[in-house]
Amino acid sequence: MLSDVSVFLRGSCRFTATGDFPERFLNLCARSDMGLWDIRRTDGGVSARVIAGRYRLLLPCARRCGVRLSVTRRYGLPFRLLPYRRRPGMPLGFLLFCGTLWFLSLFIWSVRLPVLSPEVSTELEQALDDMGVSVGSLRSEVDGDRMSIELQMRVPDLTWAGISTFGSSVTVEAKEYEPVAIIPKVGEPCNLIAARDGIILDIDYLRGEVEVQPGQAVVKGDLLVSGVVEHLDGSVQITEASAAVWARTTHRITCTIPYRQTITQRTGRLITRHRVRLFSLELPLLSGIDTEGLYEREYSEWHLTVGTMELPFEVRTERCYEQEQIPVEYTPEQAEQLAAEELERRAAELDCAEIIDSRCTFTQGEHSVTAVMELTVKEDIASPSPIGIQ
Amino acid sequence: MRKDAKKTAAAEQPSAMSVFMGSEPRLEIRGTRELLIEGSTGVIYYSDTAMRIGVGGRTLLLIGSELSISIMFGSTLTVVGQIKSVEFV
Repeated sequence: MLSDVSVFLRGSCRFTATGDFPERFLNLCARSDMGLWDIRRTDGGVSARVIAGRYRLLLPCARRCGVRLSVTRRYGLPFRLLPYRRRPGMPLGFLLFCGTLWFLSLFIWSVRLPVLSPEVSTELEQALDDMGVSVGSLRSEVDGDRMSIELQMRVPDLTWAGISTFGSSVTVEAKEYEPVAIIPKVGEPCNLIAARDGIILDIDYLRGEVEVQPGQAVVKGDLLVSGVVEHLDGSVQITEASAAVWARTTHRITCTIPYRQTITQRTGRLITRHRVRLFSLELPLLSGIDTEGLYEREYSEWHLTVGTMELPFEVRTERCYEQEQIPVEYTPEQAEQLAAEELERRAAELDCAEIIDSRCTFTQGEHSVTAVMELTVKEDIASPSPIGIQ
Repeated sequence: MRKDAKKTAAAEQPSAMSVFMGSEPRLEIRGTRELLIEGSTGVIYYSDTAMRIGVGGRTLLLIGSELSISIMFGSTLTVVGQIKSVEFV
């Protein structure tokens, strides 16, 4: 393959040698190291290929052997470029392209960020901007090792950060700090305590020493099932208490709906604006449209990519939905209806097995309606509490 | 003096012919489609169906069809095509 490329770059030609003794011509060429190949028999002679630069060296051998040479075909890059020898713009344009590509490669084309929580992501992007790691920055100024440490110092919520450069792309990797909840591990000794006040209805016991009974009233924090088990022989076993303790508990949900409200809704008018970004240069398209006022804005971005490589060219689209605020006045009955719907929605969010009873009371005031829902539910109030062993 | 020096130098450097005069030529055939010859002294006769090649004082006769010389460099040449027989004559 390398030799094929070499032959293409140097150029070659096919010629015919016609005469009485073409074999003698071939032998002379072989001894002179001309390097002929693809030699075929033709009518009256032979045809062969040779590197273009050596064709003239064949002429003395041809004269000695009494054969006549003629070129039949030319191959390779030198002959392909011949038509452009009077067009200096072509090589100049090619050089300009290569030069531009080299110049643009000195800058960062894309920065890949890790997936983090929105707050930490915003902080991370700001820190990278301050450190000079952004699209359009000089690639030579990105020192991965030093900047990784600086990034961790600028964003305290990161436990680890790393910056690496591959070509014109910078990849930032980071790990966010996650607080560890104190939850007993499976198999770790623990008691079960009451998470809420209530009256015990039923106990689905699995493991431990039950300390309560159905019908008993408990308050938050009372011991329900103990992880310390005393056996008949006097031995004590510390284990992980496991049970579902169903109790009747009460929940109170309050909601206030004012009669006069201002609701915001779209007028139907949509304004779309586009901005083109090349490296760090941003250009608005079709500017002049004023979007002062109340608008709901949505943003989207389109990146020019080649395969998996993001190029430093993007189009940002901003969609502005015009909104208007409409004053609304509800009647007391309408306000009660809205309050009831809100209470139902909140009641559905409770994590309970069954709603035993619910009562709603509405109080109509001068400016608003206040609704109160008293819920009696059946739920599992057992909550694990680790046993500290010294 | 200069002519003597040239004669001595020429005598000390063997030509391409004399290298293989004293050693056997080497033939390598792959199937029936390719024959590599090292140490040839040149092509005596060449056509599509027959070739005579000088090898170390003898003549190698190739019979076949669509015969062509893939590459010819120094004393090495490679013949390709449908080779039916290879004979020393």
